[in-house]
Amino acid sequence: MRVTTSGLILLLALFSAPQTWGQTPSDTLSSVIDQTLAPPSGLTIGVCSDAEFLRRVSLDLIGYPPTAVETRAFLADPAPDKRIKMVDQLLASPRFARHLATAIDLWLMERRPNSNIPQDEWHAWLVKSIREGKPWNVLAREILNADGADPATRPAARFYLDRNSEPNQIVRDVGRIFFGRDLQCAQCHDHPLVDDFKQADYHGLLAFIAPGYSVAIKNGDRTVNIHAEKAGTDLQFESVFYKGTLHRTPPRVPGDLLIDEPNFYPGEEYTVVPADNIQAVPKFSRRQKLAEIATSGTNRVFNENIANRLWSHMFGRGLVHPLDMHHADNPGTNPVLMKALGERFAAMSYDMKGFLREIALSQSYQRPFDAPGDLLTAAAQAAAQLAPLEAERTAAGATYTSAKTAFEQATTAYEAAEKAYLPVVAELDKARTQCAEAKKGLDAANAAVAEAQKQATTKQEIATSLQQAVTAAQAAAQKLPADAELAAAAAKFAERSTQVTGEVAALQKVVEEKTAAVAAPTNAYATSKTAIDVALAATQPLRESLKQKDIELLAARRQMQDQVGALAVIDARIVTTKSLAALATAKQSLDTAQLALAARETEHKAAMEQLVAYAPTVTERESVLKVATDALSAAAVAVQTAQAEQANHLALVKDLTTATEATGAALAKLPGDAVLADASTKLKERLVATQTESAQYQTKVDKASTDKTTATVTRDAAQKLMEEAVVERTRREQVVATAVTAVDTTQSDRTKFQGEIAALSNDAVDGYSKRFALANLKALTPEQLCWSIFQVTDVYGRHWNAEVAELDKAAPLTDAQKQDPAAVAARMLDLEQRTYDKLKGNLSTFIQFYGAGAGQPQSDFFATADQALYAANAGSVSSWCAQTGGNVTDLVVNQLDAKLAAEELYLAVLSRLPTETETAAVADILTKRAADKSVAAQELVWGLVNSAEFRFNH
Amino acid sequence: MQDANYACRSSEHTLARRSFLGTLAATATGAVAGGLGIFSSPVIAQQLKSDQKRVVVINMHGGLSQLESWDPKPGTDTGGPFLSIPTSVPGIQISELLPQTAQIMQHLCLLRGVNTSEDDHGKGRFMMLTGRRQMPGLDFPEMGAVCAKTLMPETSDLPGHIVITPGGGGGRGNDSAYLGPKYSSIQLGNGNPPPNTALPGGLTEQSELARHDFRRQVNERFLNRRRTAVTEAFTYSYEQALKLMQKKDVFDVSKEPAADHERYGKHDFGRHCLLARRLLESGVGFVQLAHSNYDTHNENFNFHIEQMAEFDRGFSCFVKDLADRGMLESTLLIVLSEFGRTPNINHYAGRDHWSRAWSVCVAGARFPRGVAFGKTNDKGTEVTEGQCDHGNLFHTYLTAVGVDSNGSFNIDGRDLPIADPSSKMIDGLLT
Amino acid sequence: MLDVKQAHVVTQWPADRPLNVCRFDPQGRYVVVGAEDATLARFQLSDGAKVLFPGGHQTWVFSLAFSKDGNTFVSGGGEGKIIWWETATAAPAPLRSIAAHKGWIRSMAVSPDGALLASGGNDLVVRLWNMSDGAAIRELSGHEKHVYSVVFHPNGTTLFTGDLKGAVKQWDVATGQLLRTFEAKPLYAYNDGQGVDFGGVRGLAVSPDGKWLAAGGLHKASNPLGAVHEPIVCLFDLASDKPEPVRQQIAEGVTQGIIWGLRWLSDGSLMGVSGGGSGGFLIFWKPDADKDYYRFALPSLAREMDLHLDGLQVATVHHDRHVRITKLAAKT
Repeated sequence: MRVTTSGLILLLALFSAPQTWGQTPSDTLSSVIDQTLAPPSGLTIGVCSDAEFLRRVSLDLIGYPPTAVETRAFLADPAPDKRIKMVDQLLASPRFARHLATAIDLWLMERRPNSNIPQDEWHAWLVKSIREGKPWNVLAREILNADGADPATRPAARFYLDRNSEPNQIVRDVGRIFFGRDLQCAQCHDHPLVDDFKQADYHGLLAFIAPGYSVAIKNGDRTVNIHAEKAGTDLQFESVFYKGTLHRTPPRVPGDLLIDEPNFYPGEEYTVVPADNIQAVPKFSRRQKLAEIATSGTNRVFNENIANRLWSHMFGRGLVHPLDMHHADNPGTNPVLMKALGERFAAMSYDMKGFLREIALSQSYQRPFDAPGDLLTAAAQAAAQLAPLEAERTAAGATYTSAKTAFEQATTAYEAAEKAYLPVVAELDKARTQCAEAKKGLDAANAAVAEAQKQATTKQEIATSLQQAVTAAQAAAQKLPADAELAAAAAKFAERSTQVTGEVAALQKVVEEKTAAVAAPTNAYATSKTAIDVALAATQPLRESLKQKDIELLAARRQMQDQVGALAVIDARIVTTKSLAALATAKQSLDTAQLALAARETEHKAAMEQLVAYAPTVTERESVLKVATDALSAAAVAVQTAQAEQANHLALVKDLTTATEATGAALAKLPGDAVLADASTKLKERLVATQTESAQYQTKVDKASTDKTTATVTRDAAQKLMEEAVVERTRREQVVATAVTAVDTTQSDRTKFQGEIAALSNDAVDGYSKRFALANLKALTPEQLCWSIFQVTDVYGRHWNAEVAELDKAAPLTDAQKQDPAAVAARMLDLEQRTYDKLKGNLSTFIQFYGAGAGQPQSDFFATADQALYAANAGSVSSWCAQTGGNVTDLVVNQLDAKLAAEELYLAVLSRLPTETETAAVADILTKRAADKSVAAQELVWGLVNSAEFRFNH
Repeated sequence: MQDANYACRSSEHTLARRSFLGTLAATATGAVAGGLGIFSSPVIAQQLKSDQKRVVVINMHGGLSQLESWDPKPGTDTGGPFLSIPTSVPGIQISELLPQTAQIMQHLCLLRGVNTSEDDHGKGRFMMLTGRRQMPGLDFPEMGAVCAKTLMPETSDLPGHIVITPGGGGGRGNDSAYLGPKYSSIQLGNGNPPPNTALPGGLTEQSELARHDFRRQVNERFLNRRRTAVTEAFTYSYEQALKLMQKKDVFDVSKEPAADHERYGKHDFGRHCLLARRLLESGVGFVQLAHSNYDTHNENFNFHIEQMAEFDRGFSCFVKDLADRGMLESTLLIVLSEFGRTPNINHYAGRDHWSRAWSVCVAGARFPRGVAFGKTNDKGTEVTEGQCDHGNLFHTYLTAVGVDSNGSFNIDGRDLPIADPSSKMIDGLLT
Repeated sequence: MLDVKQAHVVTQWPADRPLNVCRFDPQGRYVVVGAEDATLARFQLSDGAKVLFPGGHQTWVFSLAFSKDGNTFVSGGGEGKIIWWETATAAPAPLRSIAAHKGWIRSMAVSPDGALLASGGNDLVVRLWNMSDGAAIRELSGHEKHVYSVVFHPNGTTLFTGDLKGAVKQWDVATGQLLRTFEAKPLYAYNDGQGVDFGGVRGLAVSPDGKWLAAGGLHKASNPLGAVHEPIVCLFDLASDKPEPVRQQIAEGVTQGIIWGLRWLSDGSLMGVSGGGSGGFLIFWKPDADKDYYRFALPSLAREMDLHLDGLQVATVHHDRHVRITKLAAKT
């Protein structure tokens, strides 16, 4: 890389930006991680249990859960540093390389079909590389440099070859996988949604990739494709949105400066020129340059990408997530840590094992995944933290704005320099085209010479043969002078020889002419080269200016990216704090609602009491009213009776009067009739007597009426009291109803706030996981799932033992070898490989069901019914769970103590001891199913294998 | 350069998760989620759920001849030997090879102006099923995956994307690209039920219940520690599988009345149409079936007589039944190919690949009924009116079933346009 | 003198469209051809004078047959009509038109006594007609697939009809009774991957002595839709009871070939016409050999042929829009 002195200084400054976390370089990486990712203040988040740690770290480092025996031993180990020892033990396992190779394979190839390189060869190459401790940058360099021509290193070319050497496909995947940037959308224009992905970034990378092409060459007795390379040119491009504004870029590695290339005149670019079935070799390989710059240790983008991927391998998500969307608007959880990880990883020479070790030893890696118990306590303090955060944000915002302005200015300056450069470089292009034409002319002239030379040589060979024939014939003729025919033949030969000699001379002349004709094109070519030199010289100052602007632009861009990152961290804290504050508010509201509810319930109770208390009054008044009403009715009846009696009496008086008058009249007609007179007298007497009684009846009537009036008054009084009582009772009922509504309302408030708290807590817990304050749930990959099932059901163990037996028989270790750690380690590697080979055929089924589509990212979790149907019904999973000599199902069946049986079960499958409830549940099932215990045990193992706890690493 | 906008993305996710947890709380079983996909557009999904739309694609594999089907040109050099016949819609004529289809023209919409400019089988198929042209480094979900994601309720017991393959096969297709395997097709090989839907041999009913009971207990205890969208999706997949097993009959076309089997025709295509009807009625959102094979470089006419007869019978019954059952309003039916066939008849009496002027037939949803949209010239060599391509069609199909084709999927923080953003729906076609 | 090894094209006449079918007039004056359009053409053998026969069909003509005396001929079309024409007329117009079949009429034959016309086509039915007035006489049902060819036994008492599946049925002309079925199975294949039926009895001929029945078509159809196949003839021994062929006669190397027509020659040879990847062929077999003993290459892919009553002249029709007359004898 040639840069000016001032640029170099600036460049150095970029790569050694001050470390903002303030630790000394001697801090271990794990402590740096823990200091940067300290759990949120106010929360008590410790580390996970030993059992959880063991399962987690085993799955993450070797891809298998521990065996029951290993778990038991680890749990029983009192050593305070047992976690560190375990990490080192796992990193030393033969399965470590296998597992990391599988992960790297998924990053690099995303389950694309193996059309050029068989999977076994590719996988073996990765495993071998990791076992040899090949650093990431070396591995990446080998892949980026690969052409696949050398059978020994051919697998490295799979990245290119199994993408069919398609440049745009390769640009996309190099950008995503080696630089964490999915630039695909920037192919035709600046990325519409990601400001940070520029069309220039895409084409800068494409300029490295585009010269690559696939060519079929003979490799031994078979023809294979290799990824060859041609000489490259600058790329021109324009946005489909802003047509007419042309841009031009030489190769440029993402996050780096545009590169300079040596000048080769047209026709002189190659060591081996391109041709059918020939691997071209350019004098300057852009591919090598890309590999060199990317892996040199100074490319921050490359470093952070791999650090982020390894981080994601352990934590289940990247510090920047998605892994290939690393840009200013998505700076990730902690840009400062991201930067530190990239630098540290480069500083530790890209040692993947060492890097993973540091992560595994960090407290952050060992966090529990359970929701913290004191979330609400922490929330209560959140609101107070908001104001200082907002202030911090304002300050950071201002810094960002000025960085952004500086970046925009740098962009404008760069574009101006580019605009000035374009017409001048166009002249250079023209000169190159002319030179290429001149070279063509020269080549043609040289070809003509060669052709003439060839003809002359051929003719000369004939002439020489003829001359020999002449000599021989003449010699013969001399020996047989009498033979006329021979003499004639000799003469004929001589004649012919002379003629051909003449022809040779003519052809020689042509050669001379053609040779002379080379001079002009040679000159033309030389002249055109000089023209290139002149044009090149003319571009130099402009190119220097462009490069200077490029350096400034890159600096400004990084500055802005860092500021966006800083802003993002504050924003994330604000979001968390706000969410916590909201949680606190919700909690307060809930508390208030809780208090209100109590009050409302008390009120309700009181009102009910009031209502109940009034009930006797109502009852009493009801009965008084009834008595009065009855009395009134009786009085009314009495009045009626008296009146009726009086009426009868008056009717009698009337009848008597009539009779008396009639008798008097009759007596007057019959005076003296004694009987009549007597009757008349008696009648009169009777009438008088009866009339005398009339007053008595009247009195009776009067009395009854008076009584009735009295009763009416009494009744009315009682009625009034009753009405008053009803009103009072209704009032009290109303009070109760109001109280009930109040209780209901308060209750629904409480439910609402409880829901809010649940949702906010979930958000908070989720957020803590995303920011690594809590562990994430990581779905097992198809490979992990397959090996885990084989591990816990002892399918793996049985195969391993079979291999041990076979090897012990076929190639037993000597006693000396058994004492030699190297020999023992080699034997372990051998066993691992043999067992893997025996069982790997099962992987494809798991990949088919649990793996994402070919060419798609493989890290996204999904759950489908067809997976569950496979696990439940395909038969294989069930059969692996069936009782076989010594496996967990067998142990459960044969363990008579139900508690111990439950222990075996949980230790083997879930790598932990069961709780009391779980033990009881298992015991219950095994007791009830004594008759078909083997089947029941198989169901239990199947149930655990198909549980969420097994499916995820947690 | 705009201001950093990560915040709105994360809040959108927050919203989505809340809606998810809300759904959880609202159901009795406490385990409802189909995965994480829905969370990018909970509102849309909710809206659609109330009026679920369905889509059927009939892929005329190999490239159906438009001249022997939807756009005949009898009596011309290019027209071939078949006549055209009137249909139930005055003024619209189709090939005599489709007499039963002619009787249901009032339900159909012919798009006679298709021009896709791509004569390669693989590329043509890709374009017609994804609405985009193939580009290196880019892969797009097929229509079935898009429909499964946009049309199917997340909590459906049945797969949302079913492909009935003409031959054997089965299992999960690789056709959902960035939407993920959740939306990949479940393939019914020659109409057989999905794999692993029957209990494994030797497993008793009682044992089946017991192992799932235990699995649920174990899950419940674990989820009490922490319940997340992924754990819900995982545990739900088992419940979905069990429901699918209970509903296995949905895939068993032999349960359809014998008279219907007779009507649809006792060949694979008729059976597959009948199965498609059964699936749609059971609530499956997307069914794709194929009829093989129309790549008639040789003896185009002989092959079309036989193939069209099968198609005519199954297809006309299918459309008629959907119409009679009131399902056409909510169901979009598309008959497509990778391209059409050349007007020129080659020396093997065949027709070759031709994408410049061909036809697609659709029915239902918001497409107009009894309409022929677009025209070709007398010999069928150029589109003269109503031209459209794969991108226009894709937008129009989706719009017809209520999907905003100008919208985007949000996949893991990326906004990915549902249909090609540089294309648009056919103007003025939909009702 | 018949000498197939001296075969040579005598003349060729152009037509407007690719040609499908041809027949010689029994009086030896004309050859009539049907093309990929609705109009027939008559060529005068002596000078190639061409007369068009329009107004009969709505679509392509697939079959032709002459009356015994040659004064009239019939044509069968894709719309299912049989049209009667006067052969030598200067102003052609349909004499009679009957709606004979549903769909294409792929093949027709007139009985040796000239009384009957047999026709077969896509409606799976074979029909017998009175050649003189077009009256329907009998309907022969039993084919399960399209009827591709019909031919009378030289004695006129029986009729042979062949279909897409390779079934060749022999019928009693007088009663319409099915006498027996020959199975030319090699002529048919169902391609599972492509989901298509392919093949058929495309040429059918009974030897003048009534001994041999030859059914021709194609085999080795590994890719029906892509025209990958070779010609084949199944030879049946009419004297035996064997329903399967006694011999399969092939023409190795005629890729993409189909036998479109068969004729027995006076020397006992069987002549077939075939298309093929590299043009057309007249192929000659002896009844006692599997492989052809001679093949004559035609300049373009051939689709049908007929043998002149002189037994020497062969008319072939071609996709290149030509009818050609080949003489199976030395040049004179």
